[in-house]
Amino acid sequence: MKKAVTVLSIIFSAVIVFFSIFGERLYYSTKPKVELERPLRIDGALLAPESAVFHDAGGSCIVCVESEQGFSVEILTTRKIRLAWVRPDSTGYYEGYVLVQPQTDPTGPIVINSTRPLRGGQRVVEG
Amino acid sequence: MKKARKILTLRLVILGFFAVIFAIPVITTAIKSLSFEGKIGLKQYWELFVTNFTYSDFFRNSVFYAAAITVISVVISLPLGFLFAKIRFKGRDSLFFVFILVMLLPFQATLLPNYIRLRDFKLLNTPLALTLPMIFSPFAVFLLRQFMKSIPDDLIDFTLLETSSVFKTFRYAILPQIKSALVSLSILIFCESWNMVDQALIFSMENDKILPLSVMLSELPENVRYAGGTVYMFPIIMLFVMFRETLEESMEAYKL
Repeated sequence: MKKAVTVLSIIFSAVIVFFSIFGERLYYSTKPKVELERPLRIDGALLAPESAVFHDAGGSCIVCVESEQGFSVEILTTRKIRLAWVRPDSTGYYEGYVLVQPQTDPTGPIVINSTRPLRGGQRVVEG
Repeated sequence: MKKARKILTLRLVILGFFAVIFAIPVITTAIKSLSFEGKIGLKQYWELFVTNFTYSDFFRNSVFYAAAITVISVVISLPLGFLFAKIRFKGRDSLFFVFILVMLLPFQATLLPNYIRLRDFKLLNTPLALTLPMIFSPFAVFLLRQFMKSIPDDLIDFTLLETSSVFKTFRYAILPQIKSALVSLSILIFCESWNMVDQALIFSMENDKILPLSVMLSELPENVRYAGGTVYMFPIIMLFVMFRETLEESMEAYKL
């Protein structure tokens, strides 16, 4: 019994030490890094960079990020929002931007760049 | 004969019942920590240590406080216990009575004076605020006095014939006799400081980072609370299992 507890204690201590050193690094390295931007609203449509519009089997979408205060950091979770239409920016003021009409209003900033393909409900980190 | 057996069975049933009642929360916590969002595995621990990575910082705080308080408290209480047990001087019993009185006071009664003292020394919201008040433990002094009282005076006298050094007398005549008592006392103090909550909440209201895990457990997200609880319990259970025999021995020997 004592031997088993000793072995368990050593494993336990090793786990604690490992995660004390690498826990934060693991959190940031296992999640996709995203760049975020708050889009401008023009006549009910959103002015977003072209890179913010993603295309998948269901059509075009933008990825909105919702944040909540976690125990250690602010946790960012993605939400895909389908788009009714995508039009080029007619104002000419913003190069590389498009006007998009989301089916539901984004409740936070949108992803304009990501290191990995994103899906809805995924945790991401800003950077 | 039959009656005796019946009484024994009844005793076992009652004891077993209470043992199960006490064990259920611990076992449930450990079992529930092995599931995360309906799936069985160690994902909850991964979430605990990675998504909530500051958990290990609070764990480290707890280890630091508990270890520091235990070591310093024992070191301070040893000579005091010896003083009350073996050295005769005027007013010893009255002084010891004051010690007992302090020990009987609940923590809440000394909270305000402690708070004011720490504030005046500008120690609030520092790790010292969480360690200093617990380092001077009348309970440890009382317990050590009881242990040391059982050491025969002749043994100390014989040692004094060999050496005039107080430290050597203490080292060779006293310490070997109270080894098991020291282990028990250390475990008791460790457990007490491991579980401190009120003190940490009051003395470190403006500095969350130095709080021990016992305070931060309630702040954990619900989906990792069981893993957090299991990790929190582990050191205490481990200590108990490792030193169970010594603990029981000293409890029996000194009729505690």
